[in-house]
Amino acid sequence: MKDYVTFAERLAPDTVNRLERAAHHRYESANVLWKEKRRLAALYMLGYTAEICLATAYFRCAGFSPNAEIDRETRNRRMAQARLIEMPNGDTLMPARDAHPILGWARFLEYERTRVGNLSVRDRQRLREAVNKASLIHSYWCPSLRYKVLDFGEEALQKVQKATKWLLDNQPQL
Amino acid sequence: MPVIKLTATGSVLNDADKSAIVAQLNKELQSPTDDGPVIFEIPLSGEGKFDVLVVWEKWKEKAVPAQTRSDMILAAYGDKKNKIALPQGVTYQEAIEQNLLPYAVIPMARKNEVSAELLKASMKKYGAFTLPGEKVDLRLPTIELASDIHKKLVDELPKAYWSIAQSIGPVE
Repeated sequence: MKDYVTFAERLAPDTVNRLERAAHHRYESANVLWKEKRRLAALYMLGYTAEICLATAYFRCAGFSPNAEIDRETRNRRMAQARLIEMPNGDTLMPARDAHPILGWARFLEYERTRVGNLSVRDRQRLREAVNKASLIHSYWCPSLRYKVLDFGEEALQKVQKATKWLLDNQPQL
Repeated sequence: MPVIKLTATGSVLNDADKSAIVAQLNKELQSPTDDGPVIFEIPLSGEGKFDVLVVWEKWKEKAVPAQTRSDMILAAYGDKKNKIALPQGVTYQEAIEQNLLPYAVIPMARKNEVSAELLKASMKKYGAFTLPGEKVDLRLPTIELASDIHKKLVDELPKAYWSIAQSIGPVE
C-alpha cells in the first residue's frame, strides 16, 4: 500500500455546481491567453470549456442535483452508455476511444433530453444548435494539441471562441 | 437487370422476445440463478438513486440495442424503476472494453495451496463471471464493493491470499 496521497486524490469530487464554475474559469483563462497571443493555449482551454459545459448540462438533465457528487466511475458509466447507443447512421453517440468527446456529449445531451421529453420547439432548436457549435469546436480541437508547437489563426480562434461563448451563455437552458 | 435482394441485418427482436427477456430479468431480480445475469445496483451519493448495471450475454444473443436494454431493465424493476438513475445493459466483453468493472478480486494462492474448484465456487458466490476454458473472473464496478467482497473472501478462505487489482482505463 502506498503511504502518500496524490494531489489528484485530494481534490473534491465534481458536482454540477463546481463544473459550471470550472467552465467559466477555463473560459477566462482562454481569454487571458489570447490577449497574450498564446492562441494555441487559448484554443486548448476553449475546448475544455465546451466539454465541461456540455457534460454539465447532461448531468443536470440526467437528474443530478447541483451538489451531488459525480465521481469518475459514475461519469464513465454514462460515457459507456453513450458509446453503445447507435444513431440512425450506425455511428454511436460518442466515439469509442475519445476521452474528451465534445461532440459526443452534445449528441448524448440532445438524445437524453429528447428521451425525457417535454421539449418545446425552442428547446429543440437550442439543443440542435449546441450540437452544431460542438461540431465546429470539435473540428479545430483535440486533447493532443497540448503536445504541439504551432500557431493558430485569429479567424479560426474567433470562431471557436464564439461557439464556446454560446455554449457557456446557454448552458443553464441546455 | 438482375434483382439483388439484401437481407435486413438490424435487430429483429419482436414483442414476444422482449416480454420474455423482461420476465426473465424480473425473475432474476427476485431469485438469482447461476446462469442468469450479474446485476449491480450502484448507489449514487446523496441522491437516494442508483445505477443498475446488468451484465448478461443474452443482450448479444438476442441482438438487443443499447436503448432497448435500458427500457427492459426499467420494465423489469417495475415500481422501483423511479429510483434508477441509469439502467445499463452490457455483455461481459462490453463491460471490459468500457472499463465498467475496473476492480478485480483475485486469489494469489500458489497451485495446490487451495483447490481450484473451491476458489471458483467462492468467487462465483459473489458474482464471478465464467469465461471460456473454465476460468472465472470476479469483477466489480466500485472500490467500495470490491473491498467489501475482498474482506468477506479473506474471512471465508484466508489461504487464497485475496488481492484487489484495478484496471486502468485509457489515458485522459
